[in-house]
Amino acid sequence: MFRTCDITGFKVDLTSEKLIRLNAVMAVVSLLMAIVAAILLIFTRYQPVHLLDAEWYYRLTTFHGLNALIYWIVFFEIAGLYFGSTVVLNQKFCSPKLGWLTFILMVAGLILSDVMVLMGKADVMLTSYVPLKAHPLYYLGIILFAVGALIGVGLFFANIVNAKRDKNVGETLPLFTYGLMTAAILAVITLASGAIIYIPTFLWSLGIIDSVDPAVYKLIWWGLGHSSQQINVAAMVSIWYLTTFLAIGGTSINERVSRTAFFLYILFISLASAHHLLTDPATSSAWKVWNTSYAMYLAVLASMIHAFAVPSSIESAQRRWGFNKGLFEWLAKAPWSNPAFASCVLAAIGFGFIGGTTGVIFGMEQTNIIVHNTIAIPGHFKGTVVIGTTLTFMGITYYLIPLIFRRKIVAFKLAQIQPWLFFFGIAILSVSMIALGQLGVPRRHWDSSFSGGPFTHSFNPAVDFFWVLMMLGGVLAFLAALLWVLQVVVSVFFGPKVNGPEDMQLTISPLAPAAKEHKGFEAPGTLVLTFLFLATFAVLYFVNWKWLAATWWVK
Amino acid sequence: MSEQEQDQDQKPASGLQVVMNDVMLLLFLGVTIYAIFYIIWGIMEIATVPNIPESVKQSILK
Repeated sequence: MFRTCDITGFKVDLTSEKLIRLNAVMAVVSLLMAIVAAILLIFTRYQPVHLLDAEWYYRLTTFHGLNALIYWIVFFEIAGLYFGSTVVLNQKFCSPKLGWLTFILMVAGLILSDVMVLMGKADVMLTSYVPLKAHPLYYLGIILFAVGALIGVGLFFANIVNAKRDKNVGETLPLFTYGLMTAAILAVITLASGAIIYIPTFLWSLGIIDSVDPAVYKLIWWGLGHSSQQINVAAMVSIWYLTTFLAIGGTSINERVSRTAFFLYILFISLASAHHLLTDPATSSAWKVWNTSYAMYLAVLASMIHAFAVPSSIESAQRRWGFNKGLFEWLAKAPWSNPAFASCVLAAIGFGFIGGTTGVIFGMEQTNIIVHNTIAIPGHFKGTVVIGTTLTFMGITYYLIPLIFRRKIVAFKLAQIQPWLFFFGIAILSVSMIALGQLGVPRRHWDSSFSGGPFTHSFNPAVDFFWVLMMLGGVLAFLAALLWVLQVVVSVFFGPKVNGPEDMQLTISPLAPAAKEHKGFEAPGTLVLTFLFLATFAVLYFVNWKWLAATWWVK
Repeated sequence: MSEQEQDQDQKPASGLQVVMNDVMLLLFLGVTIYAIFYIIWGIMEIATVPNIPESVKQSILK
């Protein structure tokens, strides 16, 4: 059964709409649990407060990782996959029963694993490296969640096949759905890796098999742990293209090139999982260098293409709307009051300048050694998964509330501020953590002062400054995330109903007018910004090599 | 569908375009490349690491 959206004109399958809503609600619940754990962890690592005891520190680190990196993200992505394969294509949901089964399995998996963690039966961190052993129900919870998500991804592919059969889409998928298809393929790789390693680990925890090889476990686990973040990248970039289209009617200036970039993701981005084994002795340099350099740089090339294609699509559309003065009028007159647009642009800036640059530098075998196992690594995650993916998902939710939940956004003025608060909070948190890591502060460590331990270490005094900065950034980001959760919950459950286009608080723009003939570059401002980014990257790259050279005295 | 996409649909598709439009082929390629270069090659390397000599193992375990 369908309803026709009076705002977008899409035919919306009602079962699909219900499943999108429920998956989105579970995503928000997961994020709330993750941020509550995060603020407690921040005030534990901030030594003057040192809030939690060691046991609860490691317990909540596990809980935070699981809910932030897996449950929040995957629930939201499943909602996105259903949206992209049914609503956008005017397609009926292929199998409602399997859709419900998927949702039930995922929720059961979340409850089981989270309860086990909070009961203290799985203090094994997110990575749960063997021979650390958790309660079997913890592994079972993750397996149930992964199987559920895998069925959900299968439903996405089935919807696409049906849409092609029903001629709701041509040979080429819309760019947004194409990006989601990329995310879905990466999800198959990720979830299959999870199943391959968690099923024997579950059997080992039951005592059915004797052992799981730690080196093999780590290799395959990172096929889950790292590739799951590559699903985010593909989904996030797809949303950037979608938001540009919705907010200003912009499309990629060359969709074939954008699609080719997604194609490169499909082929190569999962190989980057090898970053996590750079200091492991079991695999050769050939394996490490091929996976983290030669192959992976083709995926980095893809990111560079998107880094140009997304802002150039904004610039091109803005110029066609008449914002043509100088290099940057298009940017100054962009719809910054649209929280979805602001979120996506800020996410792209943070992802590129913080997450992207550090990702390439920390992912190299040589410079990785400066920060390996330091707090700089989770600092890098904050620059990719939080400032990139989470802020993007928060942003697109401002469109989902009126279009899918059919509610107005309550306290819209606050929604316009929220992306900025979250961006600055996470940027401060992330950069502080990276600086702390460069100064040698370890990650996953309850007590950085090593009090009572056999070894002591005096850090550079600058460390104290960055701890304070990290705490302040973390508090700001926590408050901004809490504000977002409250706004979503209040809007969805108590917000005024949307009765038509007149109730839309966010723009749904018509397609930007056709380009007039022009000379020179179509997006000169973007070209300047791209060179600025490359210059920043080059400086950081050589600074890290300089630090590496200063690590040892060569006589 | 944008004008650009309509134009693209009217042109004969190149070989690369045909590959990029085939969802199942893309799924196959993505999974296979990852399986060969990351999983299989990695496990082969781990499997060929020689066992620790028993005498060294015992001296560590003491």
